[in-house]
Amino acid sequence: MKIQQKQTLKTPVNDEKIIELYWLRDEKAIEETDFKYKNYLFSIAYNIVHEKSDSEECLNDTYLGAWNSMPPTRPNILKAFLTTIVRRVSINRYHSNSRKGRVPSEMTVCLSELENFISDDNDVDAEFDAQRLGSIISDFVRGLSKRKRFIFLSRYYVADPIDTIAKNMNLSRSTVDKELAAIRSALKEKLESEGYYI
Amino acid sequence: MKRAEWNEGLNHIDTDIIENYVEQKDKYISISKRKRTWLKIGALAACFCLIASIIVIPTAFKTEDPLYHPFNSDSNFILPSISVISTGTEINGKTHIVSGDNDTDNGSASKIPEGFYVHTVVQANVIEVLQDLYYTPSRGAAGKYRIARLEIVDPIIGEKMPREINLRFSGYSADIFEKHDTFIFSLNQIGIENYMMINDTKNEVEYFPDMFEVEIDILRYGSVIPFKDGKVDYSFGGSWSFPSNLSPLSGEYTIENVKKRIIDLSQNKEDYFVHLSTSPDYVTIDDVFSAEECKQIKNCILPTESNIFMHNIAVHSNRVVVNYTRVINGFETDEKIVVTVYSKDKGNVTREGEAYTPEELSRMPNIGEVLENINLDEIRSPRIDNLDGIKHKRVSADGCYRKREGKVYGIVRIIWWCDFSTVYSVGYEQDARYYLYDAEGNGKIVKGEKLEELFGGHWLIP
Repeated sequence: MKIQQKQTLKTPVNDEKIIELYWLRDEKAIEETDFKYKNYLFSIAYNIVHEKSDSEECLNDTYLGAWNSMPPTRPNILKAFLTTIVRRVSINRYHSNSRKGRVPSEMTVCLSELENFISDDNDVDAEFDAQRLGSIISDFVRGLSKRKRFIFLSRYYVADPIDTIAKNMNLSRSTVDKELAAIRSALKEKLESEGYYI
Repeated sequence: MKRAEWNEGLNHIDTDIIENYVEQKDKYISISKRKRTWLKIGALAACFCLIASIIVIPTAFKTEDPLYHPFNSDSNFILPSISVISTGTEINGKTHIVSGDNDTDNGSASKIPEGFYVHTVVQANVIEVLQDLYYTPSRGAAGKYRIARLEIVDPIIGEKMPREINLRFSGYSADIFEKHDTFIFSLNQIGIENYMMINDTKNEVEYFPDMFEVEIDILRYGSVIPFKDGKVDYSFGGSWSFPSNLSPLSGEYTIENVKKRIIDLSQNKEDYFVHLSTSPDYVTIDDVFSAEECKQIKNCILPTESNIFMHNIAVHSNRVVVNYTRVINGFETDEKIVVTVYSKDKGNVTREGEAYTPEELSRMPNIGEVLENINLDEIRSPRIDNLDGIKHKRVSADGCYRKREGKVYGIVRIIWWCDFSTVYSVGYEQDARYYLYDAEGNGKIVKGEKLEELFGGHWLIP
């Protein structure tokens, strides 16, 4: 992974102004988004697809997604809004690449951690209800402590490596490992109680 | 439950959960930075002495297979320091400034606002694919390429193109050029007439005028379209797929239909993601230094024994912008000179980063020597024992120079490459080890975050 951000005298514009630019259909919105959030969004995309060119395409698709969504959307927190878009776009690319058999990314590692209740198959059943599962996972996450919630989302939502999570939280790696093991155990129970089996 | 279902479910979790997460992450990162501690200099100096005393183990290169890439082997490797040519080259009566690599990465190489590079779309036939492997002087083994000679049959978008050009490409095997009749390429011009590369097997510098590169980000999903018997050939290998935005509105995918679509798209300014310039020209060195302000700096960026300025160019509708980056003994610095030319009479020059003085250039920490003396086999990856299923494959080292507040630093990075159960390798940037050297050659191990503090932003060696 090779990312470089050069020094610049430009300062980031605040999120409200950026959102306003989207609403005014001013292309500077994308420029400002890129300037402020490129590295952050790229790191999420790269965690998932682990190829620079794919990650850059995901970034482009994210900006397009943001452009197409605003208006009518006016997000409370732009960074979170962009996070959901980049994740969705990157996951689609990830599954497409997986079908061709090539994704040595952090996402592959964290999905393999969930092998007790998630199978290898990358195809979605026609009858699958994503909204319902999303609701169940939301309930589960809300029931976690603040610390566990952060670890869960860092690992399984944005696919941060375990060492990065440990570093961010100033914890040891083994502590994060233990927390993840406990989270997975609780998650398995929750999913099974809702009728989700491997 | 299937993986795709799990991920789709995650895509549908409540928005406020993500909002809280993002805010929490920002707080954690900010607290975490304040709590970091340094390794003691004494212990680090001891590590440096140990490393400096170890004899290098050279990497063996196979030369009989022209497609063999030595850095895909199981051996460890060190990206070399390359000495540069000290004089310009006279060709056809024009002075050419010797240059190294062109960084075609729009995002990191320059601050061109629109993010456009010159791109030319041509129909071309392949005359010959050279058998040797080449690499760029400034990037060493990081930039390994093949060279193909092309004959331009039809310059679909582009003017003043030479009849024959050289195409630098990587990631494609040479045999794809043998299976097809003709191609449409979207090309990025590099090296303004004076591109030089080092022949991997002969270790000689060779000059390739009119060098172009295939630009992946143009035309979406690939910038090469192969044709056989007058139609798009979908058997083109790897992950290539026909750019969806070029689908003819009716009729078959013939050469003429695809060309028509490309021209139509180039006139459509609404589509943000189709970067087709309206006035792409082939740029020469004389174009760049035509204005008085630009002529004055021409001598400043001439190469010396120890440094060159690698450059990349962008042609916009109303100007040409060339970024020159200083490279010292094969290692990139963060000093940039940006030349903007509006016309033959009007241009300007700006600088980014701190300039390296002649005195500093004569007194640089010799990170090339550090790299030569590192025994990579002796340095353990932090991941070997910690993560099941991850096999440590090999380790690599590279370096760069940075200058902040009047002080010059040399930086060496060690990065480990691990295998998953498939055949792919992953370089763990997060586990990279960095050594920071001052002008006197004193070095210490530092965390990546320290480099971020010193040099600003999310910093990694390019």
